[in-house]
Amino acid sequence: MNASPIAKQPSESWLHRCSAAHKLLGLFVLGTGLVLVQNLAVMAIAAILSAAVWVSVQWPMIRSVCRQPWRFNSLTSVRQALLWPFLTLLVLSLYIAYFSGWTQALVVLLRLIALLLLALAVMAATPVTEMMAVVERVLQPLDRRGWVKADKVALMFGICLRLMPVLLEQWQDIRQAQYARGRHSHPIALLVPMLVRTLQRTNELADAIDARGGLR
Amino acid sequence: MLIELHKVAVERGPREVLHDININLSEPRVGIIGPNGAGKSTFARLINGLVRPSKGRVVVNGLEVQDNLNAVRAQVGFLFQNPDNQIVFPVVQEDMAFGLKPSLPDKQVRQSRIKETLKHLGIAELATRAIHTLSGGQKQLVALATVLCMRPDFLVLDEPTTQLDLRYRNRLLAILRELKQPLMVITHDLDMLESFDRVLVIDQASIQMDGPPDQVLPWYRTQYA
Repeated sequence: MNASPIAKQPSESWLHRCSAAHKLLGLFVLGTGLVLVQNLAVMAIAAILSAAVWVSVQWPMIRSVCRQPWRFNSLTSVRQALLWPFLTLLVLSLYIAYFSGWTQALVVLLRLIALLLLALAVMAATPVTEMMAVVERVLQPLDRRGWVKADKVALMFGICLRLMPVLLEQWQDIRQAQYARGRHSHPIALLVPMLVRTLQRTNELADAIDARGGLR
Repeated sequence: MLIELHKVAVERGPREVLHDININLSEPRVGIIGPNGAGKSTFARLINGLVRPSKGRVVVNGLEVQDNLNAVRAQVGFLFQNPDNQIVFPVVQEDMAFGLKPSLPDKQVRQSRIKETLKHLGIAELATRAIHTLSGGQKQLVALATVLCMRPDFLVLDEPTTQLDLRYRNRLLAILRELKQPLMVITHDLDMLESFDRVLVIDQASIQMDGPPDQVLPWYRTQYA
């Protein structure tokens, strides 16, 4: 079995029952609010509440992991998915702490954790097609003026979500292939094959969309 | 189903991938074999317009492919070699719904078609699973489901068993045997083609051998071993 912080949960949490439009609007409003607030206590409460929201959505997965940890042979995927965002946050916080002090760094760290957990909860509780429908609806006024193609932007949004785990897996493959040949990973040696493979995959994906009738 | 290629050539820069191909295909089961890089996938992709011929015409059921792309693609289902490149959305039923949306705007009808197809393939339990949590064999079956749920009149499968273990290979072959639609399979799995009606060998940009499997497969085994 697989575990992932953004794994879709078939069970119906309270967040599943909200409409995609409400969830995305809520995420937008809370995100804006969190950016405007600078108070450490408020930010700490926001981070705790966001964690509670994520846990409530992912409760079936968390319960299964706790009951039968041996069934989840890919708990590493949770580590892989969470490690880099949290390491990045840590480095960013240290940078801010150096220039603006620890209080400011904590405010930024808690804000980003709250935003990340809220976004993960919304992603886990919302089918991508519903999110795409909201994006398409929101962009309709711009589409009518001929500024954007709403259906294409919505499809791009959906594909981005689909490709995240695929690209992560591809990154791991390239890194392991280099380790297997006795090479330590070098940024250029990783980036070049990653770029080439991603471009190849993009072509294939475009063909697959065309083969199924594409955007009509 | 009749597929006609009239003096078709495909060029990639200075290299000719296919040269002056003239063929009519009307048999229910057609296999395409040949060494790597021989032009097999290009040949298959011509049939639903994923590759445009540099010269000549491709006609599917009386429709000129390049002038009727949407109509031809609605008739010809295409299964890619790597399911990861074929599946566009993160969850099985969402991906199937993507292909069906233009032809079945009603959500209920779409859902019932998706359930029916998954049940038919024996993978109903995968409907709500995230794609990245599936095994290679499960992904290939899901990719086939995304094609079959659109009820194409003809199927093109590009090396469908390459990434499968023996169990999933046999399962896929059993599904393919029961399909009512005519199909064309590009493969290196020669055993798979023994029950087919016609086999083509493509090499050096042209068709080297064409006939029933009992003639073509022994010839191929001796020539290309």
